[in-house]
Amino acid sequence: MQSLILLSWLGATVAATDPAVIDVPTHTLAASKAKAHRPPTDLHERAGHAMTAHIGADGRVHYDCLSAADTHDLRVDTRAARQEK
Amino acid sequence: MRALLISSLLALASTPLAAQSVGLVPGQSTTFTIPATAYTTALHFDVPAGTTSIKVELASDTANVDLDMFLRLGNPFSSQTPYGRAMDVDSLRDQAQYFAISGGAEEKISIGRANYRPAKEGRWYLSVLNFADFPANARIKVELGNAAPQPVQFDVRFDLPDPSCDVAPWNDSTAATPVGGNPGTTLGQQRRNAMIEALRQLGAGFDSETPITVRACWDALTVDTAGRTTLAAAAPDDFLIADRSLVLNGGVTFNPAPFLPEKYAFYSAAPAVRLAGTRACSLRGGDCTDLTDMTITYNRRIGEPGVLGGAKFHLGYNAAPLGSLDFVGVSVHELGHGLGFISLTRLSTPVGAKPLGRDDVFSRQIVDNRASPFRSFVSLSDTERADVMTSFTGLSWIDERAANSPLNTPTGFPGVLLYAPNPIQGGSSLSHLDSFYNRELMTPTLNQQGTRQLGLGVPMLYAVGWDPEPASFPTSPAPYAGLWYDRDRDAHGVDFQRVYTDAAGFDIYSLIFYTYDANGRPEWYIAIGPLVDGVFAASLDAAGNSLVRYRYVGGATPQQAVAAQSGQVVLDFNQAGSSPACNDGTTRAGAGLLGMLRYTLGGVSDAWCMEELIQSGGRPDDDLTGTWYAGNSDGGWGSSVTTANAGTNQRLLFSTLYYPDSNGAGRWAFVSSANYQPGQPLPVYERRGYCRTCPASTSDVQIGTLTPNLLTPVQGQAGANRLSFDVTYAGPEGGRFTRSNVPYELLSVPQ
Repeated sequence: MQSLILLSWLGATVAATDPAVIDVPTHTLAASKAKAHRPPTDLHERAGHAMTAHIGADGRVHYDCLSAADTHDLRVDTRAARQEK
Repeated sequence: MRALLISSLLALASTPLAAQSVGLVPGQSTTFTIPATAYTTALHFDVPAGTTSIKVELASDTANVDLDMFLRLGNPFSSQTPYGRAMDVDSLRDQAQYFAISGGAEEKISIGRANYRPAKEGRWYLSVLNFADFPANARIKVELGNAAPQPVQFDVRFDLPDPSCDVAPWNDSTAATPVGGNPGTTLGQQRRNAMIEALRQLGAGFDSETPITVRACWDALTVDTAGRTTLAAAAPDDFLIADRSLVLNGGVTFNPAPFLPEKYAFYSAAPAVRLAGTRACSLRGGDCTDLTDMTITYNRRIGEPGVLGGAKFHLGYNAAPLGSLDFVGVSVHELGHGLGFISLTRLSTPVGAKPLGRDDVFSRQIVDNRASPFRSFVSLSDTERADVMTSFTGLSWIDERAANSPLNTPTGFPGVLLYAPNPIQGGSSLSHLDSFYNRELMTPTLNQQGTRQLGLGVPMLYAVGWDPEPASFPTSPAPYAGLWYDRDRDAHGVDFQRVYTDAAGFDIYSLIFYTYDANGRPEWYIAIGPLVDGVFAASLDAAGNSLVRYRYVGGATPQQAVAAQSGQVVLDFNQAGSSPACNDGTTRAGAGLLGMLRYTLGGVSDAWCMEELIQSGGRPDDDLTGTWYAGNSDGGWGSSVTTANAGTNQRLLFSTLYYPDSNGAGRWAFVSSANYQPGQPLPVYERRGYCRTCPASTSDVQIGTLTPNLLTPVQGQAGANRLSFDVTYAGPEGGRFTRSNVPYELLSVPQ
């Protein structure tokens, strides 16, 4: 009896974990369109921020967040600027 | 007319019944084979009430395949276009509410309760596409959950070197003593630990079903410029926008982004990925190897003698000791910008300009508080924006999630005050809290005694894509079927009509664009496609055009498409009032639902703001509005008709007649009657107008007569409806076109 319960349980487990195999109706893609991927925008040129610091006379660190473009520290890939048509 | 549309509507006649859809069992993997360059639209799964998360994972054990996945609630994907052609990646994506289209085989879509279209009970449908030119074994698994939202997880990439991204400092083996809770025993370990701690602090208060990826770099950044040394720089790696009107040089457009709540506004990549439920490469397409959502670069010269007095980064998790540099605090602040705490409004010449003329979602939360009623920051002119950005106290973040937050210390000004010094400080102005909030992290000057968490920045970021509150599934706009026009482009217009429902359940609409050529001569184009969640993304014909010009061939079915004169069109009714086209300075008082029409013809793209010509309240009970034609045997010409109440027992009738000149080119003319009487002859006028980008100018010349005897709006049978006309198109390409008492019927679905 125990073995029957165990077998049943194992069977259920197998059924639940084994991939179900199905057939699905399919269609051939339209040939005219290839998948294109869009490069990222170059808007991060104006979006980059840089934290700068200087040491004050009191020995404390003073922090200022500035534009990364202003500090010439934009270190992300800047692709050619695009303009709206 | 029918024959013009018949090239599309043939598909109606031959549209197969929807294929039997296969139900996926949540929690169980399911495998199937998908042939080379093929797709299926026959998968679904059922989501019970109370579900708060949906995760769909697609994978393959076939090497080097590219599988894509599309997901939507409500009805399945179409298996073919209205032209009877196969779907492609664009047409499937146009029907998707979520998609994952990277260049690899593994795709995942994860939706929570706070997405714009959240996890919701009902039947969700999938389409899976195999881009490879050989068959692939696909394995798909759906998991449903009802647990609390997943705290945001960050995947840090310490391993993506390039000339401006040195990753060696992350692996520096120099021995180090654990410090401030950081247990690392090498410098590299401690740096990585500190970075991970910064991200732990950064993520507090946010959830996301999709991990956010951060690229971590070192480089030789600026030292001692004007007495300042750069510690670290960060930026979002990309920005996404739901804007079908945006066309860049070369005809490049942004991918549809139906998952973004606010249309026509840029979102930073990180919140966009959260809202899209999938990673950046699956949104953009292409390789996933090195695509991240934001990048932070630290200055590897920190610690050198002579650089900030030799001060070093403090890599502990506690407060930085005097004279050391707060690695964690700097990181959280800069990465806070990466999460979207950032305006894209220009701070340098031209000051106040918006990116590509578009809003960003951060700037949309801001008002000029100096006069009541407050003026939206994004509605100001560039000059006005430049002015308020130097007003010290005029910039208020007005979104109530932050404005009413207990974290918001009252300043005496509305909402949350933003930093607006005079003169503008590049990088600091606008994208920081006012210095008043000196205990907050997102002020322009980092306070060593301040918190390392985003604090008030958290509810502010809720407004730019991080809101954790459960969302309601949005209702899509239901546009009026009839004539639409732009007040700026009067005398041009579109006839937008529902013509049938396809096997998948999408309403298929036709769009006739009646307009003028470069010389002001009337011309017209036709589009056909599904209206999906408030967007008419017209289907492509065999030549790849969606806005098609036809040449009349008497008796031919279908008519002859002229590819060289055709183009593209989209009509989007979602939040069109926020589009640049509808914010062009023209007052549109009294307008109902608006639609953004974007067309491309002759290499020129433009976007117009369309509104209903006759609103629903003005339409008569026995409404003849629709597209009419003379049946299959007499194609190539037809009419747009619209009727409206015009006083007691009177109906206004306006109708455009589409007909060919002697060369077969499509021309149009119109009739109008303030008191329509069936069988009454009406003068037909040809309007000499103005090109689509020219100043407005029109003149009308009578070219014949037309006798509409339209009694009952019926489709599929002429009934008693009849039409007669006799018109002569002037000029060298002129010609006479006549019909006498021909049966006439609705091509479109009756109102």
